[in-house]
Amino acid sequence: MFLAFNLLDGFAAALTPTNIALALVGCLLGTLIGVLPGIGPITGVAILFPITLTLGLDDAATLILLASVYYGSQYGGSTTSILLNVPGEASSVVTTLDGYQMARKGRAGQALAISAIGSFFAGTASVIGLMLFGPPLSEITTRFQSPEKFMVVILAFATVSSLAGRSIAKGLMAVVFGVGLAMVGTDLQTGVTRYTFGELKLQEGMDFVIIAIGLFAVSEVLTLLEDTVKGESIAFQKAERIWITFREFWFSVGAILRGSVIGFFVGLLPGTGASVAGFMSYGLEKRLSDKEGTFGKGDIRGVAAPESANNAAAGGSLVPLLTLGIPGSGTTAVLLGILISMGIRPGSGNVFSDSPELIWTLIASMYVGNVMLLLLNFPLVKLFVKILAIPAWFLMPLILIISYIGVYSVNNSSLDITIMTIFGVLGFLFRKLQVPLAPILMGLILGDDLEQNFRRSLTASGGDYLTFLSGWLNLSILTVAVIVLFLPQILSLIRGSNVKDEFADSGAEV
Amino acid sequence: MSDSDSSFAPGHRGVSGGDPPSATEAEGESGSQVSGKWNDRILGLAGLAISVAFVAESRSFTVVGDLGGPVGPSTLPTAVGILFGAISIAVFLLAEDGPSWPTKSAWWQICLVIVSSYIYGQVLEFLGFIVASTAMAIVVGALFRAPMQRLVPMAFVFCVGMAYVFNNWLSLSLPDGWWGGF
Repeated sequence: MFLAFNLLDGFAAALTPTNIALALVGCLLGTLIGVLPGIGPITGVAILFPITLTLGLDDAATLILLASVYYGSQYGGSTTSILLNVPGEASSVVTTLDGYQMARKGRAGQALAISAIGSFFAGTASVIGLMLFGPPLSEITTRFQSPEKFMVVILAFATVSSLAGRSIAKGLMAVVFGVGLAMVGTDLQTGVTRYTFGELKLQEGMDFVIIAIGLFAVSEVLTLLEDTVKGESIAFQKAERIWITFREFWFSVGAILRGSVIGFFVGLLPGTGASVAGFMSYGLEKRLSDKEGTFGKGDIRGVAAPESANNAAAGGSLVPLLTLGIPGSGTTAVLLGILISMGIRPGSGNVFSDSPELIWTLIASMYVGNVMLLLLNFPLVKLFVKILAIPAWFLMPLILIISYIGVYSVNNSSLDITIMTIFGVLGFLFRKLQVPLAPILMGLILGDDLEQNFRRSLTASGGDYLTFLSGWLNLSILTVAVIVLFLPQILSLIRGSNVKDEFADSGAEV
Repeated sequence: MSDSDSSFAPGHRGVSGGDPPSATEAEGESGSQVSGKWNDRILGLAGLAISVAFVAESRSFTVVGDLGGPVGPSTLPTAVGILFGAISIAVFLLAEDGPSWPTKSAWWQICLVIVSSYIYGQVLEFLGFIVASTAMAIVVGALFRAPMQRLVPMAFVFCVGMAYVFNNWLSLSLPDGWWGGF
């Protein structure tokens, strides 16, 4: 009953005309961002966040807008997977297997339709799951002391490092690099300035928005410029019929249900994320349903299962995000940074009781967003195909200019543009060297929490480092962190193939 | 706007602009392969150098008295630096085959974007958002092989539109510069 009241309060806040309009704009912008190959969901959310500050939106409205961008971009990413064989992010990689084959056979409309229906069903189911699982789990985290919070941050680092690329060493290198960036600035406890090299601006520390835009947006432009020099190009397919028949829908219902259940529970596990959910559900569906060997050749169930799973996992992954502060992907890492900048620290308290208005408004907005995406996407399929025809020579400058505005608006400082450019170059080099970018952001965002809890723990224990290994809870979290770090290897043993290689070879952002 | 203006490559995240390169150019644009595992080895060595500098700098973080408690401002930076060094050694030892690097001409173009971006930051407040951003858009668009007769007006209209929206609707003051703004 308590949940129902909270949810009703959330709906009351989410269904104001302003917030509905923001959800609509967010879904549209997000889908556009997801559809355009130049901008991924991480970049989109990172670029838009500073712009929301200039709009003077309150925290709830900002979250609704950015969360809608997130859902929209997920759907948009699936659209390019189906139409172009270009996954917008890692979670839609597996959709290309059958989705693109369907598009090649002139069935892009049906693939997009089942993707929208599956995403809607799974998204709604996962929000109900979040509502049921979130509050009790969040209650447990209130019992965490500084050593446990320190270990949870370590778990979050293990999480992102494990799935972000081929090499665990490079994943860890990226996280530690990010933590190093978090050390830049004035130490709040002692007032000592660290790694500022006499630059006043650096005393405030590194702003994650500037770093995120540099690492993702600018490096993306540089990468695409290199591709342009190579002269890679090909025409794309056009969708014809955009609705599916009842028979096609009925044929896919089992895949949608199984995908939703698998996706949600996989999403609950810290570090597994939407990508693993998509691969697992596709694998299961193939074993259960592929009697005629049609998977991989344009089977509608091969789209329905992973699309449902990755959307359910995205909802499921909000449970560890909101309760423990552990994001399951680069985009949720950015969302975590935004929550922290609003003064909400998941994992450091019970966000469901500390900030109920905000959290329940966010959950209610997810329902609204799901409905909105379903209603929007069918009429807009043909428009999306047309959007793909925006020439790269206009799109790339546009992305850069929007990035400049986003970065400049943070502090009205042109030095930030220089910092963004430096991180754009670093991002380009890291992409080339297959060093994942999302863990850098993660290290930067959580580095401060890591240090504060590290210090508090050692102050309380009189400098005894064994405090981090005392008690069953610390040891359990550490054990989970080690398991999560080696999860791709464990899954590879189970599945007989290399999960990481599939992500890395796809070229998708994690 | 024709399809040939822009097209997206299946299986790649790339986007290509206007005219395709000539056959000779395309053959020469396959990207250079730095031999074997030297990319990761260089990355590992660079990481190690950074970690040494990071730890060395951290030794200068001192506080007077007992302000820092048992953990001073240098404790975690030192630990982070040492860990980064250890990971860098692991990257060096576990080196994988290198990526395909951009060709010389691609590097030039990439450097041009980087330098332009730096100059943009330096002149933004003097020239103003509209002039600086239009110029930047033209430079970047040209590198993506834009037809100039279309790019220049589109870039100008876009920048004027953005300046108007941000200055008037969103109350964000983008720099006007000597040219003026809204």
